[in-house]
Amino acid sequence: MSFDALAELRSAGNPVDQLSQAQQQVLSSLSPEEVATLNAVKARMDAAGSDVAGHALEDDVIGIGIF
Amino acid sequence: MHIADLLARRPVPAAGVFLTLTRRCPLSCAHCSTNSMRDSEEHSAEIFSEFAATFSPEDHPEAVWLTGGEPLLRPDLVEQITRASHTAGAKVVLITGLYFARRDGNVAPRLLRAMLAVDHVIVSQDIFHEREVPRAAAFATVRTLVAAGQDVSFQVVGRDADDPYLAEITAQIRQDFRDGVPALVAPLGAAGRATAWLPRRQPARPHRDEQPVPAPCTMAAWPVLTFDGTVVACCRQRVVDGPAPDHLRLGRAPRQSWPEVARAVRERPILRALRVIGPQSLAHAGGVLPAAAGYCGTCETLSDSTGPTEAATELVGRPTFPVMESQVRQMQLAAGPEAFARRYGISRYAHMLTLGHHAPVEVG
Repeated sequence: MSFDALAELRSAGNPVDQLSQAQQQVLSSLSPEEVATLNAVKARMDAAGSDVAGHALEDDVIGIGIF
Repeated sequence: MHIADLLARRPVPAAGVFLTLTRRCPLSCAHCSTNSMRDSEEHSAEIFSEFAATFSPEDHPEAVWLTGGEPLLRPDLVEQITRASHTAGAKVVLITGLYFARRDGNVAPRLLRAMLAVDHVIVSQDIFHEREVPRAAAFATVRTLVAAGQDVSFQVVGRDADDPYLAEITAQIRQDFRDGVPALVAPLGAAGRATAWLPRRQPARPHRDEQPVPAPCTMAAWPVLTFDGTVVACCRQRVVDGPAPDHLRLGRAPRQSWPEVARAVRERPILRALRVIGPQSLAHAGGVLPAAAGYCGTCETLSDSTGPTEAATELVGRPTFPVMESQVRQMQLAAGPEAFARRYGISRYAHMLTLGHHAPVEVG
């Protein structure tokens, strides 16, 4: 069975159906590795959006303010 | 301009720039991340004013963040940069510790003029600042600014989510300013003077055989013009203090103009790769073991060998990379400024960032 990049992205919660046909066409050409990267980023952002302390995902980013 | 609208643009390359006008500060806060003192380094004003003079209506940052040290030790420079920024179409943000308000909260006319010239004032508020500038004096100054129509926010730091100081100060900010003044609440970090007494958190380190999970870096998007004119691509204090690793070093102002710096931030392959997969995945792709020092520590090692730079060039050169880049940025923009506050601040207090924010945050 061939790899369906859009379906993989959709199942991870990426709002691919809101994109234009042209954008969906480009996304459908992503490799499994690239789709995995986007889905991992999505999962990470979802985790940081929960009550879990997002800061724990990285080490200290302290500098001129945290901006 | 509201702090939520300013931070909503944090993932966008070159949407903002930091200018560290001086390392000097009259306060002696025990946690100061820049290790600022009354006689710290301060370089020629022309470094900063000439760099700001390269902003134009056609090519300028959306927001210029003036920081230090204490930038209000150079109020004329603040006003000069603000004029240049406004002429080009950029907003200006000022970060201050309110050293001048120590006695009674009164503000000298010259300093008030500078604070009202900018578009947003961020006031540092924490248990260490309170030993230098009493809370009543700081709040009186904020009231003066709010009454004059200025947008103000607090930058509050505390030990962690359970620090009772944070519960108490955020409650008072909400009560005294009737939920009209927002705050970014962040954890204390082991940088500057705090390294002497604050234990450094042990960062997570992937196992040597484990492929790191991609983790985009939001910080590699806004350049910093540091105290001596060096321009770097990250606001982490160790990078700002230098020497910055080659991949994060963008040049030297005013020799490098804003358009040159902005182009480097947007186009340098390793920065683009960092913004999509982060330093640990990039190190792995380049055949380098992620450093024991964790996420940022790994980034600091990326220029030690050619592998990560070559891997970044290969990644960015793929025809599909632009769409990956666009997708990651859209995810970050859609998550909004509260996501930034949760990730880099203390999650429990992320809601403080949008106090007083009535307009929808632009995510486009």
